[in-house]
Amino acid sequence: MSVLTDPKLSTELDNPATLLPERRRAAAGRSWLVKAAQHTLVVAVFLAAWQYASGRFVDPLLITDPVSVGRQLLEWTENGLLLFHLSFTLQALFFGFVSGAVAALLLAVVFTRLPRLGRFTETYIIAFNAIPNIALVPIFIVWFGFGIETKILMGYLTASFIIFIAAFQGLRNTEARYLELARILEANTVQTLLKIRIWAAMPFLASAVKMALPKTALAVVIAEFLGSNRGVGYLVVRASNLLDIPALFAAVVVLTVLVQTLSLAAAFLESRLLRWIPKEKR
Amino acid sequence: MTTTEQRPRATAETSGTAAAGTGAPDRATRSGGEILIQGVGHVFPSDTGPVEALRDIDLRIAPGEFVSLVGTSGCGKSTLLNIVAGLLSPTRGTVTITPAAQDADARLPRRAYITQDDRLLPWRTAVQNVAFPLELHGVGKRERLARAHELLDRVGLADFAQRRPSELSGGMRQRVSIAQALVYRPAVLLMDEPFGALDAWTRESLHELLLDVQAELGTTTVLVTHDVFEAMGLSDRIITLAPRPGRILREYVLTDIPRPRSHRELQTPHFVEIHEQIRADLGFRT
Repeated sequence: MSVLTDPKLSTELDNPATLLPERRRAAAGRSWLVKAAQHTLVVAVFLAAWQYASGRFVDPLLITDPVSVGRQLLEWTENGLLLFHLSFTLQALFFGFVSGAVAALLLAVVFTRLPRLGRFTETYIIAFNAIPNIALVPIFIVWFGFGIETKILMGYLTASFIIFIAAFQGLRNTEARYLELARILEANTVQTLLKIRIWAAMPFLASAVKMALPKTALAVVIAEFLGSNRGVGYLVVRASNLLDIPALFAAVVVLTVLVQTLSLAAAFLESRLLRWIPKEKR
Repeated sequence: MTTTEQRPRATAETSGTAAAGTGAPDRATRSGGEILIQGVGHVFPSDTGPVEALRDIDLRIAPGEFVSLVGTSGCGKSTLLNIVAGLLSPTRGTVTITPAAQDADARLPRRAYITQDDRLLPWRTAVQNVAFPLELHGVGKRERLARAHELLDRVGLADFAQRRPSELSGGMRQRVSIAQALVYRPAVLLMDEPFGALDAWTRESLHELLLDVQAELGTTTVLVTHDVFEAMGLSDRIITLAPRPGRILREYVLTDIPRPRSHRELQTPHFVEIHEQIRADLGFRT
């Protein structure tokens, strides 16, 4: 049977759209597995080399070894200390990020309705953002104490700045043709906002969230460094004060995993929200 | 000074003051509205002083009529269409759109506008785009999706309902635009070079589609084009516009020639004569 007369084959040839995604997905799956294997290998080799070198070429008191770090992590998991501190940081992160994002979005919406006031005020907001956040922590501690409020405030400031700038830019730069469509179809202001402007701004919003989430986590942890008795940041500082090097490394590992997880979650969220944009344009 | 609109009840009042006869008969229609353009002029401010884009435009377009505005670039035809669409307030004069008395659903917008660059929302699928006008005006989900699917089927895209605009060709996107424009049965359909960016074959198939649905729904249609042949194949009436300032030059009534008009019919002496007159109007050598 020739290629051209085989009905099954010819329909596949006629309709590449039905065939290509599967092949592409299968190929992507395979390359993902290969990549994961490669990374696992690199990390395993690195950890093995570190373990081997410890006590032989490097001072185990200063640069501990992977097994000790692992043991410390296991101990924290078993005695609930990890959960205790992690939940504090996550709470501060959650409340800070959500309140910051909501406030930023609302302000951006208001300023999109009042563009002249918005552009005027934006100057001050950007100027205020130039103040290093860390420098504000001691002030917040004076005002609010060592509790969670200071951490939430730091998270709030970090998230709201990043998201406001992106949301304002995204919302006011809706393509004219979409706004014309809204006028032709007699959409009201709220519909134009919710069904057109927000969506058109989605690439801005999604990349802002992707940037803001790990940065907010770091801001919360920095606030914990500077004055706290709870949180992942506190774990780092306490280990440092006690010269407990395995604990210090373990705390840094927790912090890295936290920030990395948030980055991945935000990237996943972004790809879900922007599924409508062809991959090559994202 | 403004673009005004009137609800069906006001029909009698407005049609009484109809502008000078147009020569085109009112067709029995289901959804076509009347467009009345009275003394419209428009001036754009610019760095080098004001630019007069339109002067003294008086035009009555009858319910169900298919009118083409033809002119060289800079004759203000797109400006005029934007004014009729309500996107631009004219400096002078008024535009009145009176929907057909038996206007099916007064909640829905009365105008539809199709342009060369489609205005489909890229985050919505084809069917969601078509249903969008109904969604904005409180038509229930089940009903609006059913109507959107029906229209997509009508424009030959039933199998592409779940695709997003980026996954469709230019011709398909214009089909979706047509479906979106017709799903709410507007009183008037305005089109600005809708087929300008398409290949000849796609253009012709869309012309056919447009004539079919226009005849079926009786939607009053205004087409802006620089393609004289396109205008001649589709219109009841062709208005030629002169540039700087844009003003009406002449009109050609083609209602005596039935549609669809084949390529051969467009080459009869009668048509060739009209074609040459229009070209002369636009300043081409015939």
